[in-house]
Amino acid sequence: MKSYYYWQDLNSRLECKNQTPFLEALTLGSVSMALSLCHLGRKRQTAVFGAALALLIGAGSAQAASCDRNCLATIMQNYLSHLTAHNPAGLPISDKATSVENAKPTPLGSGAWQSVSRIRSSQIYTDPITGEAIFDGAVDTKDGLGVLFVRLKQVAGKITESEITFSHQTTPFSNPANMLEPDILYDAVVPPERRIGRAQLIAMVDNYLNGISIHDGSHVAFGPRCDRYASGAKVTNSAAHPADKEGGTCAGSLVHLTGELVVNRRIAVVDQELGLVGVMFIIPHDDHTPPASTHVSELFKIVDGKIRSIEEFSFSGGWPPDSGFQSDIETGTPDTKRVQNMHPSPEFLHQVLSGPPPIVTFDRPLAATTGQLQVHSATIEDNHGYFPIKNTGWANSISPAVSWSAGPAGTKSYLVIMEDGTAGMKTRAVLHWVVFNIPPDTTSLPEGISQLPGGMKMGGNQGGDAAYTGPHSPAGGPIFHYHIQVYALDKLLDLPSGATRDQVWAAMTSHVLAKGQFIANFQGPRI
Amino acid sequence: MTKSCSATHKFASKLLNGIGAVALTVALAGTANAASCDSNCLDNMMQQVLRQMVLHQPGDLRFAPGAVIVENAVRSDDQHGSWLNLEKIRSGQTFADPSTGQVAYYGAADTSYGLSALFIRLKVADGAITEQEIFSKGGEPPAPAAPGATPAPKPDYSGLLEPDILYTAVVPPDRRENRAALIATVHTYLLGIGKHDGSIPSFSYRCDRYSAGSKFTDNPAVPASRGGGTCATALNGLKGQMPVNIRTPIVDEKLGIVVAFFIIPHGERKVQGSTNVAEVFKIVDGKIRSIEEFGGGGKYPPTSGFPDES
Repeated sequence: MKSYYYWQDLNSRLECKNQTPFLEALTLGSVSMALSLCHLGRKRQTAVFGAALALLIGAGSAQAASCDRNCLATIMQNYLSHLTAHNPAGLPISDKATSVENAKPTPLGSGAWQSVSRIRSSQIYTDPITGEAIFDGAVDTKDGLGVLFVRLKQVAGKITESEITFSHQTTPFSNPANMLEPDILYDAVVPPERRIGRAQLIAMVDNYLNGISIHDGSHVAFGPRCDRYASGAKVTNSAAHPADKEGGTCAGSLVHLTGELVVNRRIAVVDQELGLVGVMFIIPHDDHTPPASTHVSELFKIVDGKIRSIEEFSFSGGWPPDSGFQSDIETGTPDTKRVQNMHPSPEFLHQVLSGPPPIVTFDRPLAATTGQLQVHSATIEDNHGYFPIKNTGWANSISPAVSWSAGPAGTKSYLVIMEDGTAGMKTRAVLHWVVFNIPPDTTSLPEGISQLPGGMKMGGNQGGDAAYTGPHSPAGGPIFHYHIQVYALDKLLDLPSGATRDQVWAAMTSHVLAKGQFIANFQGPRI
Repeated sequence: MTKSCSATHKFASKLLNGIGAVALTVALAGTANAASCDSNCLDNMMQQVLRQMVLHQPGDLRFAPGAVIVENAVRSDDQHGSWLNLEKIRSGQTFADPSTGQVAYYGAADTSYGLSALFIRLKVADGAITEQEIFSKGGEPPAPAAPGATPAPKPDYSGLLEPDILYTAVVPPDRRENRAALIATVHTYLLGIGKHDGSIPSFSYRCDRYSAGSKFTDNPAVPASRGGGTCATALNGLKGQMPVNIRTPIVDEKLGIVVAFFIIPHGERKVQGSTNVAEVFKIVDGKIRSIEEFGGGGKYPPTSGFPDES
């Protein structure tokens, strides 16, 4: 079978292959998919597992310093083998490993390790970048059929983190029997033209968590076929869960949630080819008496930039919220306390997610022109369209590299202006950077520019300083959008350093020969 | 009107020339000329048909002498309907079965009347098309409203713009059924339709049915009282008799796919009619995981233009 999407060039699809056979997947290294084909509850469990393991050991070494998908899957399979044997002896465990079950420190060999006797079904997904692997499936326990979710992190082939969510109850939010038939949707390869980048996948999930935080799913991109399952129990579009019982559509089901801003967000696994993101987080319930928390692990399937399906595994936790693991914080973010003190309020999130966008300079009449400039930023493009942390107010706040195509004849100078065009911000876009009187033979600014040669000047930023000030959007907040705009002008601006934006606008009006912009993203550190 | 007729006549002439041609160079990547046409070959044939439909001419396509050409259950000696009004293929999925030499396409296309839904089946033998069956919706001018009535809104086929990649997922070997079992699973579904009893078929707990791209089951907008509910309960309120003219031309064991055609007779109606249906089933663990449905009103007694194969 073949699948086509928005056919623009039929010929280009002729070679499209959307499915990868099991062995071919191994060869290609798509082992997360291949292994998840192992439906271990059936009679072929042993054969499939054994064959996969043998192939995996041959394909990748779990002892390698860099652990690829094969290696990570092998580590998980090995872990599960030891778990069902109730014996952690021989597992490659780091001396400083952290082992947690349902948010409580639990040594390997205890808890689920003493109860789980057989893996009945299995989905395993891996991410060499995070060094993590996740498993979910139905398991036989001493108390009957149960649901098991495992996250492992490895460093240099040794397990440094083991996190288990384990239950064997059948409730409106858990159906272990359904888990015997894991959805093969998650193993479907997303056609290249329907995939999105790693950063975008993570951002989509963060946006979903923001939707949980503000109890509003209307700003989250859901596919028309989206459904959410909690430990195998269908929660959305289910007669068992009316809209006021967290049911309804994927979007509507967020409306009746309770709890505060989602915290302890941890991205465990991203797989672009499969459109998967595995994430762990906690919903604090300060509103409960006594206060409590809901610990959640979720697996997202994302296609066309929309959430197609969600698998959820959760349990009730204590107060204050604590998973035993630190939340993801961007590399380079210097101060954890700063992150924790900059949580956006629900009101702020509502404003950002639903308010009208401010009018950036680019869209103002003063800059009306038909001439176009192509604007690029290698700094940002190399980081998937997102500002690296070094260019932001969370770190060194050094200006990004910017380049642009040459302006038309008559260009006497260029002007660069960077504004925050995030919806719901102030009517006037927040001003981060203005550089003007850039000579006509200059079509780029290097990263971290401080000395301005050749008569160039900087205007005043939002704080009035003649300097660049990087994005500093709040931790745990949504994605902000920054417009890096370049103008070709037919004159030099007779303005001093530190000139205000109003002065710049007045001086450039009717003198724009061409313009272009590059919209860069930034999301504050994850909380 | 005249222009349209003229275009039809020119097109028919070209097509007849195409059908009469004995040797044509068909520049396909696959082996459409081979006696045995594999999946790629069948896919390529379907793609060429879609490409030529947008161009409103058969081009190098080969139709076998006596090829059966049917659109919306109406047989014709020449191409009509969708061959004349398609402007652009917007999306779609194809399903091929080399053992039967058949391939189906299901997707959305632009027409001069807006977005249309399209389901096409081809049968190929010796590099030539021997059967072409099309179901189309939305490519025709809107029906005039009754005097004083508000025109009915155009159905929304945008749900077909993003084909579900579920259908591309390979079923793990230990969760597959063989060809006979897959067809039998579909037949239990048809029995459920005929008996208006959703407890007969075996459905996955994740089953949903989509009609021309719109979610039909587990959709608050389509309550059980209007034929919605789960995949099972949606059958309980159906009308009509036992499905007839059952055909399962395409089966893919690896993907758990069955493409089926059938007709539900409606002899119970005051003005008797029928519902012609094309469906794509995704079957995992011997249970129906998902259904893509494409149905349209037909005549009574029921006819598809093709013989019953059940």
